[in-house]
Amino acid sequence: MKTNLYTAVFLIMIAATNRLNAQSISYTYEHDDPFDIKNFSATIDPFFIDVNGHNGYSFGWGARAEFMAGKRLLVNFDMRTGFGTNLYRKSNENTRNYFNMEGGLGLVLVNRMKRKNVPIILSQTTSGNTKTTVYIKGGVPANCRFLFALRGGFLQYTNSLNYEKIADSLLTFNDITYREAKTGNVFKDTISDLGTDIAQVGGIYIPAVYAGLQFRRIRNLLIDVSGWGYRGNMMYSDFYVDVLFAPLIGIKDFKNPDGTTYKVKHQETTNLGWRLGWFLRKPKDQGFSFKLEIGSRPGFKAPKNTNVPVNKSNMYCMMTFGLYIPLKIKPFYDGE
Amino acid sequence: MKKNVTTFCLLLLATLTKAQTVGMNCQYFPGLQVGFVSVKATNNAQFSKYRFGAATPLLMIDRITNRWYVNMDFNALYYAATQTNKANDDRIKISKAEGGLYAGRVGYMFGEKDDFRFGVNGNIGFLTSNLDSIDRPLKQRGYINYGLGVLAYKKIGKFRAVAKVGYELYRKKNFITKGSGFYLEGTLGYSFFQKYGLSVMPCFYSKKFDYIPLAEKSAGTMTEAKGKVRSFVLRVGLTKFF
Repeated sequence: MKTNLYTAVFLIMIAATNRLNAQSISYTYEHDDPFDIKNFSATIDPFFIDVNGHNGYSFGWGARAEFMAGKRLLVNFDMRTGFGTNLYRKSNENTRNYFNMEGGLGLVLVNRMKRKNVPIILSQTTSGNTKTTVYIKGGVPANCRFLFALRGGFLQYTNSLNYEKIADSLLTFNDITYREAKTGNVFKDTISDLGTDIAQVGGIYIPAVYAGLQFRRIRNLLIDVSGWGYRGNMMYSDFYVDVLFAPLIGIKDFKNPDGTTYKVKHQETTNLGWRLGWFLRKPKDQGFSFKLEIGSRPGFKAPKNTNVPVNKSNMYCMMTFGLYIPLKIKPFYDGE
Repeated sequence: MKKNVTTFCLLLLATLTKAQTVGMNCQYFPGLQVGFVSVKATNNAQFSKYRFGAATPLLMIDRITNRWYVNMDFNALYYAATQTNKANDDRIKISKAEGGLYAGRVGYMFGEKDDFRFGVNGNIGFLTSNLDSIDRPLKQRGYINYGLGVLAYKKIGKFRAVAKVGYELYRKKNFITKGSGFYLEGTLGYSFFQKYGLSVMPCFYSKKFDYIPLAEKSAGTMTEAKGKVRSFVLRVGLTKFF
């Protein structure tokens, strides 16, 4: 037994030594220039999904573009329209389809390159529930480009609105609270003899301006690792934080089949919102680009009796992806 | 062993390097199409014939490189998804879902010249055709397809052309008892700006089925009907040229 134990320990030690030896690897640089990139990308997104407090969820298609228009200027555009907007089908009159369009500029304040070690994955295997990843220990020195920019732009958003998710004491229909309206004739089809219930849904429109900070990282490293082949660390990613200001929170008027139009208002609104976003693509090659955004849209104020001043009805999480076309386009503003 | 691996890597690298100059990638992700689909049935109590314009949105990739041909087809699934707003409100007269819910082809290309390749491919997937005159795309029944095809690629000046022919069999328990069909597809691509451009893809599909209509299946009588689906479409979309 003791001999077996020693043998096992010895074998483990040999295995560990071999693993250490595996890290004694050599590599040559194929390219490592984060300035050698395609500065424009255009994407048609076949699918996005926006999970939100207004109507639950919306999905559809979109189009995006981003452009490094020079050393000092960034341009971005994003449009999405729903083909699967939850609750939209509930009414031909009162709801709105999901639509979001925004465009903006960024002024680059920092555009620098630094040499630092980046991780390189040599192999990744999965056996059962165990995933084994072999890295080059300590990483590989690479040129990493970093941009910091101030950004701002315009945004407009429409969607269907589920009244049931809004505080029923603050939402009013011609000055009747939603709480009272639910028991009256506002949501009854009094034209038909059956007096059927009408879906308690509406539409919302938010035009806004946004301003924030943008952090872009670009890595364009490809190495030839002896015995492993080509491995790389290529990344063109954005992280941004924005504050949104909406001068108007437009809730669509509610129309009953009897012809009565009710002005819908929320008694306590907030003009401010916020969002965090990530965007990812490759610096030079074509591929899929992803964008993820979470935040809180301007809209309804949080109830006063809550500890955290966040209204869940304004919250959203959006993810979109598409095959982008990267192009090298002559910059037109260097800011110098 | 290490020598073999190195040699293999070098050969693979040579193949990939060559792939930069031959082929094109039709990225209909999404793309558009126009055309028509006609469905004829005999011994079906619900209908005998109808015809409709092809669904407009596409989601497919058709990629030819130096050695490999890959096709991924989600056209019917994507069309169904794009109709969600309308379909649940009974605003669709007839479902236009035709083709791949999730289907694919993989082929190998032969030839050494930069301007010509010839290849063979295998097809497998899950397709749908509106054999039940259904108006909700996501309610349509699907069937398995498998088959073989041949294709040829030619570079003519600034144009790239592809021709594809194939034969497929269709099966699905309690739906398709016997089915077969063929397709003819062509592609003409032109690069406008930095390796990117547009391509048009005229396609003709002919399918024959012995099938059990949904009404018969629901009633439990399982009486078979015969169906013919023919479609001619012209697809357009963004394309990358290698």
